[in-house]
Order: sequence, then C-alpha cells, then structure tokens
Amino acid sequence: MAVNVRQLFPLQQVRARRIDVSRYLKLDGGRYLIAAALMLSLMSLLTLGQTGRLATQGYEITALEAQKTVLLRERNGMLLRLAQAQAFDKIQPRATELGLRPAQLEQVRYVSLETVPDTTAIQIAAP
Amino acid sequence: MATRSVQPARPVTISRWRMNAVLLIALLLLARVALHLGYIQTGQVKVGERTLRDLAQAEINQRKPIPSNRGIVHDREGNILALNVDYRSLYVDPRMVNREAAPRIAVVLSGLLGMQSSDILNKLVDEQYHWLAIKRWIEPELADRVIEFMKQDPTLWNGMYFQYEPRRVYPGGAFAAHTIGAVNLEGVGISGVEGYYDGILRGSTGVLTAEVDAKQNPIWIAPQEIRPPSDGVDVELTLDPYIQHLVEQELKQAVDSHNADGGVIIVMDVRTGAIRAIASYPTFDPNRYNEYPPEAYNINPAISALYEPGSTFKIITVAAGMQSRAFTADTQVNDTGVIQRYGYMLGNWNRAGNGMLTPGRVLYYSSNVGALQLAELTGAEAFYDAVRRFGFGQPTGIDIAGEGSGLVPNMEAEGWSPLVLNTNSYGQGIAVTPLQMVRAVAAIGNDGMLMRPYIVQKRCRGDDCVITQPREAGQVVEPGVAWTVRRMLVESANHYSPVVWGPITGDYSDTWLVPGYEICAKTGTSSIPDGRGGYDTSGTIGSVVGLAPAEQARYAVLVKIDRPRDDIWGVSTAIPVYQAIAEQLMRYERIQPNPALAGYGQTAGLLAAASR
Repeated sequence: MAVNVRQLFPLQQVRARRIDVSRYLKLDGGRYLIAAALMLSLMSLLTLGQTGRLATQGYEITALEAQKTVLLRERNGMLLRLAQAQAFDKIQPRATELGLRPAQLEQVRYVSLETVPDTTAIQIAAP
Repeated sequence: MATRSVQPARPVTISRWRMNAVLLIALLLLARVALHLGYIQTGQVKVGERTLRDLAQAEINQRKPIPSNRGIVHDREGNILALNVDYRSLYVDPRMVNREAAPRIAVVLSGLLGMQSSDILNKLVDEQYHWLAIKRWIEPELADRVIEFMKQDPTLWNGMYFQYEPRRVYPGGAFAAHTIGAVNLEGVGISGVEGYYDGILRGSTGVLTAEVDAKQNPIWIAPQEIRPPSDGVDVELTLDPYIQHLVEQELKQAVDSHNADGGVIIVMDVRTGAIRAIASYPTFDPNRYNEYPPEAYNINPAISALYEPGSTFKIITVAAGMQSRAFTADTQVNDTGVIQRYGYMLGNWNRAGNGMLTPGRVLYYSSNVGALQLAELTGAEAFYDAVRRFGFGQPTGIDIAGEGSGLVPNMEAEGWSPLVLNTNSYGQGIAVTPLQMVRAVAAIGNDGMLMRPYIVQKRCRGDDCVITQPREAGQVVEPGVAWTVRRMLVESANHYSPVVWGPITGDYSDTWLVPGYEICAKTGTSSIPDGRGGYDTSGTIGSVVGLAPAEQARYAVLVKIDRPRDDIWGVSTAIPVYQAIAEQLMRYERIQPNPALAGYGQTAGLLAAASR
C-alpha cells in the first residue's frame, strides 16, 4: 500500500504566508473585484454623506431665507411705522400739544459766518 | 367473500399543445405589458397635449419666481414717501370649504373684516373657482384676530388660507400725492414718479428652477438654475418735506376758504431746477387711488393742466423785447386803456388808461395795452422765438409721468394773425403748464439761464448711488436783462402788497410784500376757454409767479387758484398765499432780513400773521 509521506500543510508555511504582506497586495483575480467593490462602497458612503450634508444645508438655507423674509417684513413694517410717525400731520398736532410754537422775531438771531477755506482738503491733496 | 372492485382513476392529462398555447398567450400578454411599459417609459404617452414625462417633470421640477422688492421713494431729508410692505391676504379654495359651516364663517369674517357677509358667503360657495380672494392686504392686527379664530377650530376653517402679498404703501397719505404718483394693484406704477421710474423702481423678478419636495421647498442636491432677482432702485426726490407741507397747507386753506375749484403751487430751486414742492388740490390718497376717478390720480395739474397764463406772461413779453433790443427799460408806450387792432377793441382789465408807461410800469399796472405795444415793437418772429427759448410749447423734461407741452401759436400756421401776437403778449390765446411758467421765471432769477427741472436727485442700488446733475437748457436772456426784469418785478410785488398789509397796517399804499426782503412777483388773471372758441364768464384763474428773494434768488414760486368764488380776479386770493409762502421760505432759508426794507407798520422779519 502506497503511503503519502509528503507534509500536508506545514504550520510554518501557513504562518509565513499569512504574514507575507506582499501577498495581500497581489490583487489578482477575485481580489480586484473585492477591492473595486470596497472602493465603490466607500465612494458611495462618501457621496451619501456629502449628499446628506448638502441636503441638510439646503434645508438650512431655505429656513434662513424664510427667516430673512420674516425679518425683512418686520423691517419694512417698522420703516412704515417710523415714516408714519415722522409725517408732518402727526408731528404738528403733537408739537402744539407740547406747547411748541413758531419762533418769534425776538427769538431769532442771524449770525453771519465768514467762509473758511477747507484746509483739510488741501492737506489731503498735498503728498 | 364478496369483493368490491375499485376502478382505477383516470389520469388527468393536458395535452402539450394546450399548455404551449396558454404559455404563448401569457407570453404575448407579458410582451404587450412590456411593450406598453417601454412605451410609457420612453415618454411617448400623452395626456392631453403633454407627455407623461413632461407631467412628471412639471411635478418635480418647478420654476419658482423670486420676487424683487420695489424701491423706496424718499424725500430729500430721507423721510420715506413710498415703500412696499407685505400684508396678509385671505384666500379661499371653495371646494375645500365645509358647506354647512360656510354661513357661520361668513358672519364671523364679516364682523372682523368689515365686509358684507353675503359677499363673503358667495365666495365661500363659488365652486367654479379654486382660488378666490376674500380680502387682500389685511391690516396685521385684523389678520392676527382671524388667525386666532382659525386656531380655535381648524376644521371649521378648511380651505381658508393666508398668504403674504406686497403692497405699495404711502405713509404720508395724500402728501405730495400727485408727484409721487400711484402703483396699481398689479404693482405697476401708473402716475407721477412711480410711473416715470417704474422700470427701475420695480427691478426684475428672479427665477429658481429646481426639484421641490412635498412642501415645495427646493431640493438642493438636485441641479438647480437660479436667476437672482434684482431689487428696484431707491430714489430720493428733491422735495423738501417742510416746504411741501407748507405749500399744501396754504393751498388747501386758500381753496377751501375761497370755495375755489382747485389750485396748484410749485416751488422751484432757481439755481438748479430742483423742485422743492409741488402741490395740487384737490388731491388724492395713493393708498386708495382706485376710490378716486382716474383723472384724479392720472393727471398732475402742475405739469399737465394747460391754462392761459394771463398777465404773468407779460414778464416774458418784456424780457423778450429787451433781449432782442426792440426796446429798453426806458422806452415808453402809451396806455390808453383801450386800443383798436384789426377791427377788435383790446383793453386793460378795467379799461382805464395809465398814460405813458415804461416796460417796468407795464408790469406794475399790468397793462394789456402797454404789453401788446411792446410785443409789436419786438415783432412776432423775435417774440415767438423768445417764447420758445423760454421753454413754452414743449415739455420741460421733468422726470414725472404725464407732462404736457402747452400750446404756442405758430406764425406759419393757417389762422395766425397779428391779432394773435397782441393777445399773446398779455397771456391770452397761449396755453402753458404751471411748471413751464415757473421755470421761465426761475430763468430770470438765474441770470437768464434756463434749467431743466427735475424731481429725482439720487438713485441708489444699495450703496451704489447716481446723483442727478442739474442741467442747463440754454441762456434765454442776458444777465443784465434778467436783472432789469427782476427790479421791475420787485416794484410789481410791492404794488400788490396792500392786499396783505392794508388790513394789518391800515396803509394801502405800496409797501414791502415781505418786510425785510426784496421779493419779485407778478400777478395774472386768466380767462378760462369754454371749449367753443370763447371764454367761460363764470370764473377765472388767479395766479402769482415770482422769485424769493429777488437777488441771489433761491426759489421761484407759482401760486395758481382756479375759479375762486369770492374773487372774480383771482389775484386777491393768490397774493396772500404767495406772500405767506415767500416769508416762510425766507425764514426757512435763514436769510437775514434787511431792517431798511420795512414800511409803515411793518417789522423786518416779522411774519404777517404775527403782525396782526
């Protein structure tokens, strides 16, 4: 009877093969497929993450725009109230109520001012 | 033993060809489905005019307009005269409304919104529409109250929606209404500055083309196309709020107290042509423009209503003759009160003669007979040439919508005769706008330089501003001629001052119209054409035009009162208004009064009202 005396799978060999890093880098055959799938998965995850972030930021922009619109509305409403309060028709009765009246002649003083040359402008113009 | 025989069951067999036939039919049906699916997927199926692909795209990809903000209108002090404010409007989708609740909703809304409940109910149940406005631009407090009601029982208010809509608001109401103009309900400027500058005030609407989610928010991960909106330009007017308020008050008071039809006052900066105030009365509130007849808001009487200027036009007659060297300030003509020309008797207002008159005295007495002789000395060609150089018969170019041109007779035209020149010399048979008249007199105050009037002095988009530069429209008379005419007009003004000062001082002789200042003024009484070739004898237009002060003039002022009922000449109605405005302007401009320019009972710098 014939006996196979060859060592079936020596442990040392296995260990040596396992720690041989270069073997893992030899992406031949199916390994290429696995690597491609991994790459694709990673890229998909990245894209998904980016898309999610973009979508979230988009909604934030939309919310901010809505907030801006509300603030602009408030601003215009305040401008309107300010303009209404500044109208002469409102100011005049209020001034009368407060006892204000047109200046009398004796209250008016006219002061003549000599025209002073604008020395500031000259200084700026000179280097 | 009896045995029961069992007959073996007959095997069910389907012949192969039948099975094949069934399979074939199923295959054909599947093929048909596949084909139809392909047909649908390739977008060839149409619903109406549109393919399914288009419909799907329309559902997902939407074009959303991005509205632009209409520019703000300010006066020269920065006060807001017009701006857009978002108000809430209440809309209804009648198909969504609870029919049983509709009468109750109508009654509640009627009480809140001040509308007829029957009108509201009609809208609530009108199912031929998907979207009907119950009330647009509701005051914020009212809208809040309606919303409170809605929150109490949301199901009751099914189909009712609030939506923000921009509305043009004029905080001052009727303040400077004819100048600012109005914007219609679609947001289009229809008159005044709003109409003239509509293109730049409105800006341009932007568009966002994007995929949207169920709430109509754009999905930012999908490709988008944005055309950003361009907001309207803010404009700053030359109007001075104080002067505008002053002239509006004075005009309203004069028109109401004399039961006149209306009137116009214009105050123009002599040196630049900037309009400091334009008031027309009766006026309108642009916030509610649609409650007025169209002519109330479409026509600005100050720039478009034609009238015969009457004696105020004698200023032009004298300036034209002196400029053409046809006569000098010392030339005299004989005022006989009435004069015959081409078979017609032409005369002064009172038919009384004033004897030999210089051009200055022609203005002083407002002599028609004198003016027509001066025009004859000038000659028709030189006269009309000067009239056109003063800007009559053509728009002034002011930046307000709806300006009129006026009517100046053409010497070449059929029907013209020298008689026309005679009547034109004292302001009849010629039609001008108030703006043309005040602009011409402003040229006299500006040493003969005619300016183009303007109302917008600054246009800003953000911090980027364009400032309007004053534009000269030509030297119409020499500075010397302008000065001479101004001296004449000071005497003319003082001649009419007793109308104001006589009742105060008891002295009815000539005195200073505004104590402390030299003021130019010329009055005019205009007949009103009746449209049948004659004149309406039931009323006149009284006007005054002049400069304040006479030298280094700041303002040209025109006051025009239409058909005052208690003053057939109109002048005694217009002069007090002119005087009140001139004296206030002098104080407002902080011009020091000259104590030497005060007559009996007058104090330089003291207002007429305070002198009483």
